[in-house]
Amino acid sequence: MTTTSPSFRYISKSRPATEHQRFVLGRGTYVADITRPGMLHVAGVASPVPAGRIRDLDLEPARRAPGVVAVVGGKELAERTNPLRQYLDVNVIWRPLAAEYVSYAGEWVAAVVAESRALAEDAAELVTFEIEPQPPVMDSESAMAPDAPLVHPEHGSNIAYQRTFTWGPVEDDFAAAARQASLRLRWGRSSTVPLETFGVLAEWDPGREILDVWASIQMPQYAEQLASALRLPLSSIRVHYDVDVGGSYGVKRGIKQSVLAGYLSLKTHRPVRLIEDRIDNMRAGDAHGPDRIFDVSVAFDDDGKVRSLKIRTVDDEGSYPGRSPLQMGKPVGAIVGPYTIGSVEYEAVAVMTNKTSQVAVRGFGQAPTNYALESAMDLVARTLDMDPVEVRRRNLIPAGAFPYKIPSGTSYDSGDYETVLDRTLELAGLSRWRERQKEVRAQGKLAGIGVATCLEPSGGNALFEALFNPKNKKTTFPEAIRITVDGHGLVTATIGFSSAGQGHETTVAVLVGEELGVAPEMVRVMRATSQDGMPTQSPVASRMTIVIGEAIKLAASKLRRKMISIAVHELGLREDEDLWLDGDGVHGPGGDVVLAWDEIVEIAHRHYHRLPKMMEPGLSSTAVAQVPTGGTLPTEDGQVHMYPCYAFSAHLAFAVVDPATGGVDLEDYATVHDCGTVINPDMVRGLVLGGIAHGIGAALYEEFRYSDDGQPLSTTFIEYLLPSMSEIPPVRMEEHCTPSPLTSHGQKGIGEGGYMAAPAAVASAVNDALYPLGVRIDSVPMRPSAIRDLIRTATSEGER
Amino acid sequence: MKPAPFTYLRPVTLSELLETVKATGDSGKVLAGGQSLMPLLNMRLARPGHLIDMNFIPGLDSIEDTGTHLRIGAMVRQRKLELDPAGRRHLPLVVEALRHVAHVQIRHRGTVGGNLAHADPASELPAAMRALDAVFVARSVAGERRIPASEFFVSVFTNSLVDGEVLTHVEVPYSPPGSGSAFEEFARRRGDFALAAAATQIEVTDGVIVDARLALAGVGSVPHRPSAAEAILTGLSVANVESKLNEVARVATDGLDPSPDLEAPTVYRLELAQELTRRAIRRALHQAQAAA
Repeated sequence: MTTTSPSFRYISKSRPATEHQRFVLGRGTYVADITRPGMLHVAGVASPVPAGRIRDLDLEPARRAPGVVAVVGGKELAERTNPLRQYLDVNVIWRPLAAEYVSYAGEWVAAVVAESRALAEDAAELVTFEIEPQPPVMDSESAMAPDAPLVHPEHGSNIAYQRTFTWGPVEDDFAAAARQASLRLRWGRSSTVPLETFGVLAEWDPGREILDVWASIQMPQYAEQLASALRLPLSSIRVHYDVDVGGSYGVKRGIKQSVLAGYLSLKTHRPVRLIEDRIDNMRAGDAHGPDRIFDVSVAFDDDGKVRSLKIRTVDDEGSYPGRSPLQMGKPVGAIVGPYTIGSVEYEAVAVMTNKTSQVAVRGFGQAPTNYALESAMDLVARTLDMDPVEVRRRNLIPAGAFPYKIPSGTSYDSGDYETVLDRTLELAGLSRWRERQKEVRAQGKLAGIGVATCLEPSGGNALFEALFNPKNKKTTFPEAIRITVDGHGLVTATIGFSSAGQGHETTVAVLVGEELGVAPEMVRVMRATSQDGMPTQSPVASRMTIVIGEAIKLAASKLRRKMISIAVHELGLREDEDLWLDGDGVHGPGGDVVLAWDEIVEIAHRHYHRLPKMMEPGLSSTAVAQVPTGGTLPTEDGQVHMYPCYAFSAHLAFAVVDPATGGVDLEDYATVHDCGTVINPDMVRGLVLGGIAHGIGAALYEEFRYSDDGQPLSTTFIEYLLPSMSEIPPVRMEEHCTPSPLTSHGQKGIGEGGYMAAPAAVASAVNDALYPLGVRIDSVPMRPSAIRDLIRTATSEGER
Repeated sequence: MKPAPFTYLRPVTLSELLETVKATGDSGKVLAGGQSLMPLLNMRLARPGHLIDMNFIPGLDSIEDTGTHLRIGAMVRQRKLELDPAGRRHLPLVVEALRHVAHVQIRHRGTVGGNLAHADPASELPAAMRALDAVFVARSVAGERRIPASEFFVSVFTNSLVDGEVLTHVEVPYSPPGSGSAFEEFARRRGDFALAAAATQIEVTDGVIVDARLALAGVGSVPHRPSAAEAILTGLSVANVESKLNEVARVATDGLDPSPDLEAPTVYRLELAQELTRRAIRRALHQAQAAA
């Protein structure tokens, strides 16, 4: 590892994540592990068709079925709850159960609550209804036609959002450039599909008037949205964050399911648990990811330098847009990637169709955009017959140029992109790969080397909300920590959110340990509830290590000062002496312990007579941090300073394509990533590797498909192909460190970059393999049948 | 994904099993390893009134070596056959096919009998059994019936067992000395059902093919045994095979019209079947020559 970061005691040291032990031993506590006395179970009644008015809903036979406690239809729910939140300024009413009409196949029109899930499913079959079928809208481009049937008639159009941004002299740059090239790309509807589906348990306590909620959740303002929809005071919602979440990367936002479970508990006065099964999750879980068409034009010179870029993207949001269109907004903060492109035109179009809704997915829209950007860089290389690596090198922002402001108004904090790219080439052993490529070709197969870079924004200054909806003035994206040294001298750090495998308990323990000078093993990490006054934006946007790091630094510094003040007072020292704290106690200028940790604890907790005058007893410190560089709104012309920190990575992939089957075999993969100071190298590598695997899934395997008449075709793992260990190549990996000047310890986020870069790298490799045949594939996932179609056409060997 | 209500029955002797199957008639469904049936139950695609568990019947989980055949009990787990020394020596095609069946964990539960009786045309084991002319032994209260592989598979998920019958054994002949075999498959991921697969066993004597067996999976409603393609190979000298290979592959898929699905349009699936046929024959021949 290359490092220019300051030396740390615990940070950057290899350390197994403490929480992983309970996960691999099967001792996690997931929502399905939590049971409450008298708990009931829910099954939804799904619409068999994608569009039409609901008629003659008859719930009575189901109400009479064995074990059934309640059956609720969409109209009852609509009367008793408020619609779910829309982030765009759209006239779309979104509810957990369809009340008037259905807008995708699988949408729930009623819910059955029974003593077991099996009984609830039995009764759900007894609910009868008719739907006056309407022609469904299944394609985002035809949905924009003026005469297209409307998914939500009250909105008056299927377009939920459309805006063209122009940053810099785009037309002048296109006119001045020696060359132009264009391409159209398709990003298939894939997602994060965690092993654990969404689950929620809600328990209304009518005596205390508290709704307790345990959920598999990764979502900002979850409690607030529950309170609004259920018409309850926010103070009566208690979300328990000490629930292990079995995977998410964005998708665990089951607000529909949670409001439904909450309502059913309010209605029945019994705890109600709703655990999606796989079909619920894939067909109606609001859990699909971006589904995009890109039209990209690039203006460049003969030396490969790119002057300007035009990107138009049409995103199929599915039925209820919710937060998902904002996934076209986040890429604005890194719209030129790591390149010195001088101007950009960007048109974003969000279209509603009769599919289940999209949700946030790892990278929040930037994996598809990076695929488009990197495909454009490959196109420049092919047009000029240049090495794709060289084209990228010529356009990289130089190491001396930071902070670097891109045309859309965002400043990149730091980086050394060329060094990272060079090191990736060395790590891969590119000359060895070239030899291997010749060898494979000699065997009659195709082989390609793919390259992609990736700029990974992190920190979560989520101003795309305000950019896409000027009525939204939110600029506060906080995170809180409470650090306590208890009466026995042990350290507890309390956080206000749940985790979905990111290892926050370890990260927090390491950062608190570093700041207090105590071994991370001695720091217990606990989770507050939503009622405990810990402002949080939840672990999204690769923000947590950045923002909680700042909060920890602030809280620990207050605690350190207090403990040192106690020593100063106790020993009659001067405040300005060179004193410092670690787990042994307060050290004097000579380095010796002048007052032991346990003695300070004794004074703070039990010897008020030895405390400095007016000092609060105990040792506890809370801090709330705002995201670095946050606090400004976008300008009217669409300039915005988005996220604070920018990690960089370069990826190289080696693909072998069997021309007879179209099958792709990834033989090798190398990446070097720079996320500034690495808090825990094992966890960083885990995040990067997982991201690459996820990206390989998007590139080659995963897609939620629909028939033309609106039926979901990918509702089990037979059709939705997740890569397994057998499909993931060995990945060579290395860290580089360019610290961020903006964060507590120089760290940047790293949870998403693998997923942003791998699809582009794999597509680049497959297209390099196909290049000698003169064909190219411009859509993901790249199915063998589609690759084979291209090869057959190119070689005209179909007659064999 | 919870099954519709059913009555669970657990006979503990073969005769009790057969009586139960007879008594329940159309309403009964036999449970072996459950690797296909349980998902069908959970998705309510299968809704039997009675689930008859075969897992407690003694004597159906052994592999018997008769000297010319292996007689494999219906409840033998796929993994057991895959690792069985006699299986590896005498049924190399079957063992190779099994390695493509799902994943090791699933093969530890999945049974040979369940796999075959389920009659999935994309499944590996039915194609191997069809290529090898295995004999399927069915029992009912009326006695035993021996069904040739050519008659066992009727259509998609449909076998030729009649009411009251249970598949108890399958008898597979030894691969002859001087033969080679190969199982070639293309699936989207390791362990997936085949988009197409080719199973072949070729016997060579003095440089001439004396017996060629070929079966394809994934290309029709049942495992496909293209006798016309086998006839081209039979009698051919090994040296001349390569020049006939494209013809063999084409004839092997003559008349087939596999229905398209998400991963494989018809033309692509036929191309795959032809390519896998070529690869399987090449490899089987190579093996036969090495054995000679």
